[in-house]
Amino acid sequence: MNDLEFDKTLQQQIDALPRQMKPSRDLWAGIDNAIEQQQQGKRAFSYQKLSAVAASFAVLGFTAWLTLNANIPLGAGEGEASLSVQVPATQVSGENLEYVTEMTESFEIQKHDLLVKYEGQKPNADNWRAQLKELDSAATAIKKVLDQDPSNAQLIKMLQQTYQQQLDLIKAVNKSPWQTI
Amino acid sequence: MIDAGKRFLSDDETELIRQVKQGSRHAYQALYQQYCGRVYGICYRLLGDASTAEDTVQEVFIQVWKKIDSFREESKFSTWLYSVATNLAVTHYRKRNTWWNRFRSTEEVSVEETGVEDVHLEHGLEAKIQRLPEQARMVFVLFAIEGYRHEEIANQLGIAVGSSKAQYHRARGLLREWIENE
Repeated sequence: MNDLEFDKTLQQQIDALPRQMKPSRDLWAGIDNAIEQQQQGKRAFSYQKLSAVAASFAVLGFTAWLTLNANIPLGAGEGEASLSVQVPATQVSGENLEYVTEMTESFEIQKHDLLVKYEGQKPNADNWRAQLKELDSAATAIKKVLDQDPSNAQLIKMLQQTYQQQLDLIKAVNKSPWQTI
Repeated sequence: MIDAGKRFLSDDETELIRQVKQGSRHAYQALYQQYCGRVYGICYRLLGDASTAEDTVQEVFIQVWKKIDSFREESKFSTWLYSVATNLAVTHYRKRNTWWNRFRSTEEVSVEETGVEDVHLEHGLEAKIQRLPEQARMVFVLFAIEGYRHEEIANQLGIAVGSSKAQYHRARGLLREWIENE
């Protein structure tokens, strides 16, 4: 067989090769499983991002609204009543829920103590109860998102800030005028 | 003249790809069923064993799912898919072809020596291709069956263009010897 004849034979045999082959096992199940896991991961990540952004806007919005409309010096009297529990960088979901409960209980006690302390005292802002209620609504919204995503440390931090703002607001509106000098 | 059948298939595929881009796994399964056999054929011939080829096919379809948004439909989907398959199979080959494997001279290990029974070797030429030394087989499959140029093969395999040509001639010579001695 000369070169030309061989090349012709080889080409004929190559052309006769089947282009498609059948794998011995079902490969789709593994592919589908990998894709599903990837989709779930993507969804969870998007939801976390969305929750964090929504909660950030809520807290920022209330802070801005309080600062601009009520003209109340937030942060005044710091140290008198502040949430002492530290936000952990990473915690498993179950521990986070426990931590949020503890923080909420601690906040409720401090809020109650402050309200009792300033009872009967004339506040230096008229609409502070409405502002307090708004901040409380923000905290409730954050807690609802946290129920869905308990491992989100950013949300826990925001909840803590919202609680702290409520305590600061109560102190600020009940501060005697001479204390601000 | 427009081939109505082909035109329909093309539109159908465009719709499937659009759905896949929107996250439809059902549409992707339809594409998988359409192209699985061809992709497996590429991987099997390049890698020379059924099990690794099957794993590579799964990897190809997972990669394509991840990268589907980057498919701009300027070329045919099949062309893009086969290039992903070829690249992944070559990557597997290059990983396997480490200094340790070269030291063990696995290039000379043929299918017959591995003793693995293979269902795809019924075709005479198929069996002979699988008997070729590994690099010669890769070059032969890419050049003679998949239609790549030596420059592209050299680039993919990380060898010189001259080496690619030499490996092809080595493969051709061995095949000629085996065919003529039948």
